[in-house]
Amino acid sequence: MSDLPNRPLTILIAAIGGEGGGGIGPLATEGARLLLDWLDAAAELEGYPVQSTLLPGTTQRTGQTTYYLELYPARRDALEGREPVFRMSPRPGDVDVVIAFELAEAARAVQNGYVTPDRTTLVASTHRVYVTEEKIAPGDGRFDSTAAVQAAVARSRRTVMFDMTPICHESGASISAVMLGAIAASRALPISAESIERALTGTATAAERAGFQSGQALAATIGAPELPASGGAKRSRTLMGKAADLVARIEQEFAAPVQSVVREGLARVIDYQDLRYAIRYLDRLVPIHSTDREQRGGPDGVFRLTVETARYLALRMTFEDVIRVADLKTRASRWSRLRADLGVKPDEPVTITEYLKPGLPELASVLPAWLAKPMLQWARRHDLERRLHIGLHIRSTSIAGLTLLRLLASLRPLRTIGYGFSEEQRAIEQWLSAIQEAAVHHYGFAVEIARLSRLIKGYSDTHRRGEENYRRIFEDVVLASLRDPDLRQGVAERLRRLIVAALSDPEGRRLADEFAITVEKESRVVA
Amino acid sequence: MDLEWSYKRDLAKLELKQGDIFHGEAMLAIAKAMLQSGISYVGGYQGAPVAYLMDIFAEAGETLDKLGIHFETNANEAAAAAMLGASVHYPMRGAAIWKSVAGTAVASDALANLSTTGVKGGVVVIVGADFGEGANVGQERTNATAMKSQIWLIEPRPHLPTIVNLVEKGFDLSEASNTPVMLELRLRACHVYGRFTAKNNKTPTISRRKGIDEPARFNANKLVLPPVTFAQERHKVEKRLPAAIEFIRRHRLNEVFPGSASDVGIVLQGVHYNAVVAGLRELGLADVFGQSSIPILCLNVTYPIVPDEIVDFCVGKRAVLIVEDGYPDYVQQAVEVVLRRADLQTDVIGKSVLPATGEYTPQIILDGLAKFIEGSLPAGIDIAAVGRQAAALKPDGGGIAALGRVVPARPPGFCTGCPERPVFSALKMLESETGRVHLAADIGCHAYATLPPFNMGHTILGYGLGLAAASGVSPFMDRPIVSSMGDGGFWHNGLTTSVANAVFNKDDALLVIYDNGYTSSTGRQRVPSTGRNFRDEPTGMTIANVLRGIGVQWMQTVRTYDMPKVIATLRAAFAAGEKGLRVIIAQSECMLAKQAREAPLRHARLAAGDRIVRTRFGIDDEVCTGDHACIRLSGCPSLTLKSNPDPLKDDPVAHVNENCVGCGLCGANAHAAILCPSFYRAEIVHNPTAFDRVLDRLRNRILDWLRTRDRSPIATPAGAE
Repeated sequence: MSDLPNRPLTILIAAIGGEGGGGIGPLATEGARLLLDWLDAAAELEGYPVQSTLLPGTTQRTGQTTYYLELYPARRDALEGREPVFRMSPRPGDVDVVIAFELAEAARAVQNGYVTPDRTTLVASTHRVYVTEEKIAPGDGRFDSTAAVQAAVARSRRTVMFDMTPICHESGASISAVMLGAIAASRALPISAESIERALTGTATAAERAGFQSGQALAATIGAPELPASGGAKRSRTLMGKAADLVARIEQEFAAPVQSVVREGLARVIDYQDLRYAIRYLDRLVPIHSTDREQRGGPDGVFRLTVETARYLALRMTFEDVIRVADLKTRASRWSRLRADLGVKPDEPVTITEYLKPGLPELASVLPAWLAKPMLQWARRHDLERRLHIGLHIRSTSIAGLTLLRLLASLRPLRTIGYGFSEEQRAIEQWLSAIQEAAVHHYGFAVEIARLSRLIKGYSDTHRRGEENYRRIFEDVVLASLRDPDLRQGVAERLRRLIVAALSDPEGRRLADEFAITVEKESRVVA
Repeated sequence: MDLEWSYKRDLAKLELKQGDIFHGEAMLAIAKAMLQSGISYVGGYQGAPVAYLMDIFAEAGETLDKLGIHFETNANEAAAAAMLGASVHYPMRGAAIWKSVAGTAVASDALANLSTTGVKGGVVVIVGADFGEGANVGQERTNATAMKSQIWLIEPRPHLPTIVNLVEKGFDLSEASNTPVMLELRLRACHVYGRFTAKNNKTPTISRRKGIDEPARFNANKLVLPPVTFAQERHKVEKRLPAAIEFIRRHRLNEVFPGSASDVGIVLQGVHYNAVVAGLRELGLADVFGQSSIPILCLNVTYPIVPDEIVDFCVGKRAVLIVEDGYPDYVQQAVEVVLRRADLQTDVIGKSVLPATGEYTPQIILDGLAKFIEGSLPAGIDIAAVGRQAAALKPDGGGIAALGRVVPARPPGFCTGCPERPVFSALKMLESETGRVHLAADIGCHAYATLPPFNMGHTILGYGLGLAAASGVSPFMDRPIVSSMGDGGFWHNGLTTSVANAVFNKDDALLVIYDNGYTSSTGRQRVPSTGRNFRDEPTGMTIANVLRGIGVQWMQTVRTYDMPKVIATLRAAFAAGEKGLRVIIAQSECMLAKQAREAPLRHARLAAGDRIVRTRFGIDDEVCTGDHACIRLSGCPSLTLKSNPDPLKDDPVAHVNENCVGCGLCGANAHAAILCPSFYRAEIVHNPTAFDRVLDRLRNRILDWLRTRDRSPIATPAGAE
């Protein structure tokens, strides 16, 4: 009698509430409830007193939710009619098994103290379902997955963590079934794998059972947590034909650590325009690189200045105009990639409709300056600059639609006489000379000037806003600091912070705050 | 039925016989307990956390018919409470179901009158307390309603046999004291799984099979009109209250758990019993079966308090701890009054060691218990050991330190392809023309617009009250005033409280009604305009007809996914200022309901080899520049991010994942807000016919010739992703 355990086993399930997608996808509505039912049934089969409860996903649509289960690890018939008293929700530090349906939810359980080194086995899928806050930042607002995994390992007694979604996709099982397999394999509960499987068989489909078995098999072999493999694959370009000759020039004129990024940039510029333009890319980069060489590749010797300039120079020289968009959308490579992305089988026909809506500035940008300028002036006078648009739904899988896009793309050779192109080149030159000038006496400042180009992206209004932010920072901070040596102290850090601020919210609130701080500091420095 | 969570496979448990072991969810156990109590009728209004109890009755038609029980899905809680009036004259038991305190507030008119006249047949209201974790309304206590109207309040400890027993005893209590009873359950308790020994269902004496022959005789005493009300008031206090107290005491609805440290004790609301016992166990003062060193008085009934029980428990004790969460501390106040009147000097400790507001989580309770013990020094307990143990059990914040950053919050939001989202996208776009608009929001899924990425909505005053809440703002503002309301809110209260009010007063405002067919956030229950009721009988009620009848002049119906039309309609409504109430009926079925119905069919047809065209959206990752403007106008779960495949770029690109239902909003937004040319719509033909295949092959031969090659080809194979 007295050898009965004096605490129940506690299991917390961290999940995401019922979501749309139609209750069809593997990550669909009320998934965790299935798992709870199976665990509850398995414990019952073993004769353990058990209590499970939940915050129903219905009211937590797409939001974070938890399920909780306590199990008394002694058979009911040994208790002489006594009933254990179970908690309805977990206490931090008192959880034996945390089951997380997603990586950030695992991290949240860690954050809230439910995962502790003395006790907790953490069973989690390492895929990410980004929250809105992460998605809406104009830059990269994503939570750091690696940090989440490291903290999970550091804070738990044991982990069984891998990306469970591929098994869901292969088997058609819900993530609950795969998770149940992982739990069975973890042996973290005093329930036999047989009872778990029997509980599952009661209600599950063949797909669920397959998912369960795959989850169990994979979990049995898993060591350290594995992050999802997908998403990170970078697509490098190769240099072909005459462009290959330029590789020799890169090898001669650039230090080894920067050659790959220069090659990538060069390939991009060629893909965008032509060989002559590519040579211009290299010619523009060489002076920056010699300054970098004079400074032995900067404080840490990795030629950060050349790397960042090469990167952003390539991106700025290949700005997205209507010609570029038409070009990209009519590539053979795009067609095969798109089919793969959509998961289309070889014999399944696909119709693609493009959503295009070029405005007056976009059209004017490919016209020569003498035509574009008066056109834009007229539009501005009549307040039409942002209002005249051509809304197009073009079928790029129809012969007429594709021909139209090809015609637009074939304007490529004429791009260089366009108004937008010449404006862009002027801005690039101004940017490069600022980098060059700064690099002579303040390496870090020059690197941040190069990085400032990250702000220029998007189309129409978004692009305009980005460009305004860029211009404001460029004029008020970069040019001002170049003119006035008094302002140069800490300018690299200031610039870095302004870039982060500009990319953290679209309304420019953080940027305005950051500017306020910057101005305050400046006035203090000047005073 | 289109319910989100069906209890069909569990309904057999409602038919369990005497001695059978019931194993299942509390909601189902309560339904079973109601059947065991011999109810004649039950009604209610769906609201978390007791919406599922409504669903159980809606699905259990067969069982109800067998017993002759009438079930009604009422228009709102007031209707449900009024329905309980059947038990004023007739000796039949009735029950109602709603969320509290929101629903109790709506019902309070009828409740106050019901408790004034008193009841003949037992009446129990099952209220779900939307309090604490997972709650989505203001944090108030039902106790205040119970106290001001003299309704008895049961808050059972979360233990299925106790809950079931108290449902049954609740009806007896109601009859013994001629007073309605409320039985309140917290969110998690509603869904707790457990077991109890069943009894046979009881066929009610008055039922749909054997009805009432004669109406009751006229009896002025059963009406709420002076001077009768003065007599009723006396009756409440002099007769019914003592009867209730006597019943509670005699039937031991409250439980005393003795303990060795008899100089102190704990008085708690039933809901906290488990957490208190577990806390004592962790401090070394109780075992896992609830054998505690500290005596416990578990109040399963928190109103009325039984003075004798309090006195008996406190006699000889230096201090008692009151564990009740929320504010004000009604139980503590009642206990203090009882002790003062009995001239007992026991210290009453409560909110001084436990927080004044908020839910009592296990950690909070454990800390409070330790503080109480360290302060009250119970005899025979190693105080220092308790202190050490409490210190050891304090969370060390190690998780936060290990992460080094805050995990981003995941609040609830609109589902994938939700038909309500497009209207907010449109409103956000239009704000660039109109400037910010005042949005009087309402209760329902559309309230998710108050969260990122929309952050829209100024007030939420109640279910169906949004527009009424704007009537005090519109006279003072030139900009358009917008109010959003769901079809659920419209039928619940909005029709009169908001719409009639606005038409009558010639208020200048724009009301958007989301006609998605269900009260979706509570689990997709039907509303009058769904077209059919829960018994699948056609209703013939439409929102447009009602609005026309009520005299709304400006009214437009739009399909919400038709973005240009939505924008044009909103713009027209804004422009039609000074013209009284304008109503836009934003129509499209709840996507969850639609998918739940169509997806299985689609899968079956797909498997059967039928030709099916599937629409979904995609984004060209080469064209997308990673500024995420599209996400800021949508927030759709399937419109997400992926790492930028471009080796020169860092910021992630937007990405449409495989859960896309092809609603088209992201493309329509990109078009309407002129965001970017990265979106495309794909129509994929599954199980193509031979003709499809031949045509496709021919066409692609020409298209392949037209398509161009990369001038610098991608080195890694495409689709490595």
